[in-house]
Amino acid sequence: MSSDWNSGVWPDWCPGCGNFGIFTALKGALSELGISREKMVLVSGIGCSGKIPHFVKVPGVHTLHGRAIPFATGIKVSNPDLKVIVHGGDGDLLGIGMGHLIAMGRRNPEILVVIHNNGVYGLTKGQASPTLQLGKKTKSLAFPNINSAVNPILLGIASGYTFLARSYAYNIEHLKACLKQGISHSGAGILEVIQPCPTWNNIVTMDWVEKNTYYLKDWDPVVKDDEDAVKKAQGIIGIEAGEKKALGIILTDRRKDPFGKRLASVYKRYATEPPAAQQVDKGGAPLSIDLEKTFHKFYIH
Amino acid sequence: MGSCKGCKWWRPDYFFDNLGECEKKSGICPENKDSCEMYEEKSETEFCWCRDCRITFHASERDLHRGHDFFCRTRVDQDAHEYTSTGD
Amino acid sequence: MDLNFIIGGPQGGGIETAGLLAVKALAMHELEVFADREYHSNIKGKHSYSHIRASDERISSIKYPVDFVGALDVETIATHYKDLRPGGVLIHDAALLDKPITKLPPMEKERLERLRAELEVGNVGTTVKELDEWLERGGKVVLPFPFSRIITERAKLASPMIEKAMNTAIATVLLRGAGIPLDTIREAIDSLFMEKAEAKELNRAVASAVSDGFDEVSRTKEMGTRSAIGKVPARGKRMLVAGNDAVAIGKLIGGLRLQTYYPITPAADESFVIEQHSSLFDPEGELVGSPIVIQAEDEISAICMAIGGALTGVRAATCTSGPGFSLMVEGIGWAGMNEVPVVITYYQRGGPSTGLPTRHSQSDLLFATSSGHGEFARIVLASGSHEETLYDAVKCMNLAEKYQVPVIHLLDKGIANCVTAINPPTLGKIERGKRIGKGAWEYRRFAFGDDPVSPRAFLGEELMWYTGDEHDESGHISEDPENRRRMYEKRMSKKEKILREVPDEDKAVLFGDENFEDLLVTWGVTTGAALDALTELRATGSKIAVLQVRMMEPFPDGFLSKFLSKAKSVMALEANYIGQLAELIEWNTGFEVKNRILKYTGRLITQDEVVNAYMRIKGGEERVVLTGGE
Repeated sequence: MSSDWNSGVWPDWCPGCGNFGIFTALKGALSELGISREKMVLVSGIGCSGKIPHFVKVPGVHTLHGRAIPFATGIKVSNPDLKVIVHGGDGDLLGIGMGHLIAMGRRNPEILVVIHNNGVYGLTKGQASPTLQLGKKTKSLAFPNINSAVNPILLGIASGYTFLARSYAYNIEHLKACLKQGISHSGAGILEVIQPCPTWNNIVTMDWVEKNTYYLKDWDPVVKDDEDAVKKAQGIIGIEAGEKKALGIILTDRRKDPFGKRLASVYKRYATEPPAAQQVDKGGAPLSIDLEKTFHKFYIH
Repeated sequence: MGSCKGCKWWRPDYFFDNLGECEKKSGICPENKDSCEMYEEKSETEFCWCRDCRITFHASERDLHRGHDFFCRTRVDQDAHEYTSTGD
Repeated sequence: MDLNFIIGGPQGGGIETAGLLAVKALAMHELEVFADREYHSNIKGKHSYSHIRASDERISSIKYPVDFVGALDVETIATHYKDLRPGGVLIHDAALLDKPITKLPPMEKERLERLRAELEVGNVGTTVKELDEWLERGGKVVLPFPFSRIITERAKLASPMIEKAMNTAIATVLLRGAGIPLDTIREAIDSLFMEKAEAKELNRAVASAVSDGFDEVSRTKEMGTRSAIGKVPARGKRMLVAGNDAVAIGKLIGGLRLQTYYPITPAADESFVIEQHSSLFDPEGELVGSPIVIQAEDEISAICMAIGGALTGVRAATCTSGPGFSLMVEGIGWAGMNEVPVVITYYQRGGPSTGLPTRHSQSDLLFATSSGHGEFARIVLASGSHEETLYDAVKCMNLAEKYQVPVIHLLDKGIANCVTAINPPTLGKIERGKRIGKGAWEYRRFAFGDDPVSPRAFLGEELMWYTGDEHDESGHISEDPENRRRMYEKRMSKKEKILREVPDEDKAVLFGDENFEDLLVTWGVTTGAALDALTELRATGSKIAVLQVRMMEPFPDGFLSKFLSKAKSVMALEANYIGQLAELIEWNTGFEVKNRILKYTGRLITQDEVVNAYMRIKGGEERVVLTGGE
């Protein structure tokens, strides 16, 4: 029952906000995945989407504007037992925090980044976000947008993400399925969620979504080999070039090692005892380290 | 015949929920607590707005809102953004 | 004895290795050593040098003028001939004799103009040979040494490692001149090139050949009479470290498990050392710890990753310098708001902006103590020596966890890059602070109580929330004014708790006569120069004491006032323009720090400068600005 996942804090989003859909689907996904509550961490940026950890009854870290990914990465590398999900807005993850989004793709940690994409900066009165299309004028803009939109899926491919999906905030079943796959994926994932902002974005309405999206059919997102990877990338560029936004799992690439495995290849103890599992003292005394052996090269012999 | 509360045409205002819009009438209406000739029973919708909890909730959580007043939709003033201040 | 010498050459040509070889050999000879490394923000080609000091007494600074200058190139000769004391020795390759002195494309034009003017005034001439003759006329000793000839003829090198050979050659002559036997030089070579067999053989051969040459050149004896190093009693086991190494060792001993960083000078070496020593073995050979190091995409990420790690209960730290710290500030504010124990090792360098990336400065004190919007408790601890730096690295992690605050370990380029010998550390204690008890049925991360420090649970253990917004005891956003007041006071009252509990010796340390009249207040690496000057000044009867301030935030005003109230005059000594510590003292204690001895050229404050400045202050000057060093 997804209501078990309510923290009891009042969700203060506007009525009709797409965040309610994401909130519902997320609780459903957590419930169906059967992960123990304490082993989850929701890490978020700021703004309306950034509040989501407070409403879900799992540990939550509501961070700084654009910085959810570094916080999440620090958590995940220190304690790989934790399931870490990042929630952020399009302004957060694709604007101020874009550099971190790219760096995460390069590392491929087992973290799913959920981009709440509503095209605007809601909590600061609806300024254009990096996903608002060129020439569009939402309610609060004085002039039509003079910047082009960035495409998070294509950015994800360029950065090395191994899971890419797009869903819609008010298709709960579809979104839940995408979340479940993304959370279970062993690598870095981006799930872009198209989300109406009823207060500010008078363009991306439920009606608009109906007319301007379609569900992917006959598209196999799973990368089989290097050759297939090139084909998939070309295919995705084609999909993304279309006038309508494709919804569904767009890419799953299980061939690349996740960051934990890469760390374990360098730090021999990492796989069995990551930092959070290691002792640092023995009842208040430091571990008995053989100084002369460990710091051999500094000794004057 | 039922009252506005259970009617599919009724959209209470988000802030002043004793007032609202009826899709069968024009202008602002007070909520009719008695019976109404336009009444049509609201059907199950995926998302509802609960007046007691003041949140949008999903059908799967209906049990949590037993005995509460909830509506298929709410009415949001189209100019609501004009009254908003920056918040983050 | 007290020996100072400079060894210089083109940057990236191995001159650092030559310096390190010399320091190592002197330390192996049981001497105290202190070496400053000066280099440009450049990979190859600009002028770089080490100023090495050795003594049979404890030393913690460098001193001018120097006894020897060993020059690998003309630029070193042109830059440092003035640093020689009367009777000091300049050594350079004889092959440089007919080179022009002022044809130096890498030299900065301002310096070149000064050089030209100096040469013109002295009517020196235009070649190295003419400069040598002029120096000799002025009472210096010049020793053109046939390095390149010896290397090519006697060492019979099959290997093309010219740069290594030349560096070892000049270091060997300087060391032999200082009275260090060839055997010790070879031991130092063995130790330095421990893992590189080919380089080891080459350098041993070069050292032997040059050493033979040294004995054959009769004038080299003049060096020996000037340095007069005898055999010094054994000092027991010691370690030769730069400040970067000292921090790394401290962090590793102290239980660091996650280090994050973004490359920056002069901090990055610390992370390299941690990576290289990330397998910690106990005496039985068992691996007992293995911290990880993550290179982040920027400093914002570095601090945020470290905070993320700290939330899972690992001891987490990052290291940076001014420009990086500027980017970290938002993260530190978040850590302050969320009471996260995270350590930031902050190596100051010349600012503002990119400033002097490779040069010394102590101009970020006020930034470190007050960076970030809003008010929150933090600890800023400044170390004054390498040994202190190592122990403080452990202490900072203890303090962070004990008080659940961000801790800034404030260091400087001087500490970071200077090399000295320290005693191997004794393993102190690890304090992890308050943890949740068993069976807490409803955990609240920020629970109010008598103690502003709430019991800590780690992510993965309990339900908890964190937010950069003001929050309630559970960590949920709250703008309630009453909660705001209590939460604010919970965070801020840690300052008093810290001041109450931190031992005095971590706040400030007084050196010298308890019955002082003049109090020289200082901090950071400059403490070393102050202490060396103190010895010299007290020997001549000055009633002076040095007060080294360590804890900069929360500021120990009460403890400092005890000393300030006793002083007839207080003078601050620091490497910045305004006298930031002086300002901090005035702000916090109300005592006036009228006299300020300051330096902002990017070079270290030296012992002789402190002595002279003290005299000038006694002579009535209020503010003395130091300019020594190239």
